[in-house]
Amino acid sequence: MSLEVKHLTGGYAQVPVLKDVSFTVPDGEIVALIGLNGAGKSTTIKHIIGVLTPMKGTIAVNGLTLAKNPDAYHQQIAYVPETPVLYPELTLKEHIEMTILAYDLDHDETWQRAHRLLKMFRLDNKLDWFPIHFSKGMRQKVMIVCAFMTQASLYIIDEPFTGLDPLAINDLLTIVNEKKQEGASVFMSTHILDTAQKYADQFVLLNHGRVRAEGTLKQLEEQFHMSAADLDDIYLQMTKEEADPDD
Amino acid sequence: MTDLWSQRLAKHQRQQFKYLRLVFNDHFVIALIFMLGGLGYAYSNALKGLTHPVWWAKPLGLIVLLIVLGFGHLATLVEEADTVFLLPKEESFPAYLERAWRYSLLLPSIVMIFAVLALAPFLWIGAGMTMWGLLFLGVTELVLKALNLKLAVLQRYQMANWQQHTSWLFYGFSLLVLAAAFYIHPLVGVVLAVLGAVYARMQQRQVGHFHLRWQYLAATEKTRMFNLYRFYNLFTDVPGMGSRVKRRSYLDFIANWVKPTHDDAYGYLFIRGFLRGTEYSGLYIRFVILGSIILYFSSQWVLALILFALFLYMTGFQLLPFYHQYDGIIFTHLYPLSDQQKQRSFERLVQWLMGVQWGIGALVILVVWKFTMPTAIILIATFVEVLAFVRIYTPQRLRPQKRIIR
Repeated sequence: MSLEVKHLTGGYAQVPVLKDVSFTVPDGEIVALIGLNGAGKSTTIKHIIGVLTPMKGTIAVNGLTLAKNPDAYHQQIAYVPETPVLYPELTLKEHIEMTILAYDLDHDETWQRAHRLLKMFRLDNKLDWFPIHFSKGMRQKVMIVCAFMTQASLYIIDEPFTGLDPLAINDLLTIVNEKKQEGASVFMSTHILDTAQKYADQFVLLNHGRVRAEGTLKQLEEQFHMSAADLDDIYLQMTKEEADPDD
Repeated sequence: MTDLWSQRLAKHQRQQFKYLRLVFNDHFVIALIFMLGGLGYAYSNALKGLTHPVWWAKPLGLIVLLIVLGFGHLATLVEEADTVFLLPKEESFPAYLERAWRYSLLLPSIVMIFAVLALAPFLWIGAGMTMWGLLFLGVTELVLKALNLKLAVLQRYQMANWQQHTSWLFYGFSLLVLAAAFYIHPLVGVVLAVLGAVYARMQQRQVGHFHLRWQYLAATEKTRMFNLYRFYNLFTDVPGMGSRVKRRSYLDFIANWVKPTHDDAYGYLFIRGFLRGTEYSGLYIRFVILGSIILYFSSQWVLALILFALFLYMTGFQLLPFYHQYDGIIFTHLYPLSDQQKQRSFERLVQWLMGVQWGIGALVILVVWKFTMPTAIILIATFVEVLAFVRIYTPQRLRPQKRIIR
């Protein structure tokens, strides 16, 4: 069981955004976190990566918690933020070096993986540039390279498909699938439902800070009493529930 | 429109006051007093060596006064949105700009007076100028600054082609006027400057017939505010004012001195951030150079000791916020690195930087005081200070404080 979130209540300051959220991300599976704007997707991710502290509940990755083993916990996670975050003073090459140093990765081995990814994203000729000046999509690719060159067991991607060109989305999905084959798990939040439906094994539907439904598409269909529905329909159904308070 | 000026000015001054309070913090004021004291002392010492007129006194005075004229720009407080919203109010702008001119003249006038006052003893001895001569020189300088700002007002109208060269014309004219004041008679300077001002005044009567250069008006004010905030940004965080980053690949060899290890991962980041960011490296270089110069001119060894110690302390103190430079980058919270590791890396950086500064200061002290007892006392005392700052004070200041992230 890679990621295990149990009865998580949390948010900013005194106001809980998430209420009693529980779900799991098993090894070797891609789980998509789906919800409307403000449903609490980003807050959930912030709790998992550890920049927010839960008010109640626990979060464990392979049995390790942030409170007990902070460094070992972080060692297992790789994160791609929604908006690229870069050091203004470091070149692309130095971003990779910095990641290697920070996670204490094997230098040569990691560079091999990094080179492959850089080539895939056509960044291999920009190693000495400051990536902060890149376009949004390219900066996003830098984030992806830095995350996926590590050997994490849990990859967390916040809105991976916004700002990437179709080719890059395809490349990203290839990488994600590779990691999945290697036994790592991938947790991503997204709005691009058809892509999510095609690639994710399981879904967590978040609404008003609560888990509305969880499971494979089949299981979701059952929970919403809709047969042969796709994710789009289920998503809309969830939206309607919101509009109709009696439901 | 005059109401608009009053409103804008009040808002502007509130904002400036907010920043100025941060700029003139305790440390900066102490540093300023010592620096002015040191400079004043050095200046008075240098004046003692000057007993009779020298040929270079007038050219030097002329150049200084010419440079000082560059201080202060026309503050119009025009905002970019005005180019859309105030377009129909164009006819009221001459009055608005007149108010702006008056306000803009205030601070530069004080600076001009101080410049002439500071130069007075030097010109008195070095150029043999009289009290009246100096007074006339002061008036000339003031009128020239007023003319400078008046031309800036005219430049905001689509009047004539020569306006593109206003600043060249102004400095050429000023050179002429000041040269006349120094070499013919100070009164000639006053007369010429006033003639220039009268001409500008007459030109100003006609601005009503011309259109405003809106884009230029907004752009120059924007640049002015940007420069102002860049200055404030040296002392405090101005929202939306990131300092610039330069590649400086010629400094990579220094960055490569830091051995890249997991334990010192932050060292890898800090040294590059320091060398390539302009904010902290600029501050450091300024302190080192200014400190060395002032140390060189300190004629008392006790004074040299105090100044050296103070400069080291201020440099270290100004470097401390750099520790939090990357707190906004979420990854620094995700790395499997402890606060202790980050802190040790930072301490190494501070130690290294203060060590270099100490080394340069020590060289200056050795040059001035040779191998004497005072030298030994100064070097040992400041060395102990650096150690204490890095090993005791810095860890205490950096003690982990939980920060809330967006």
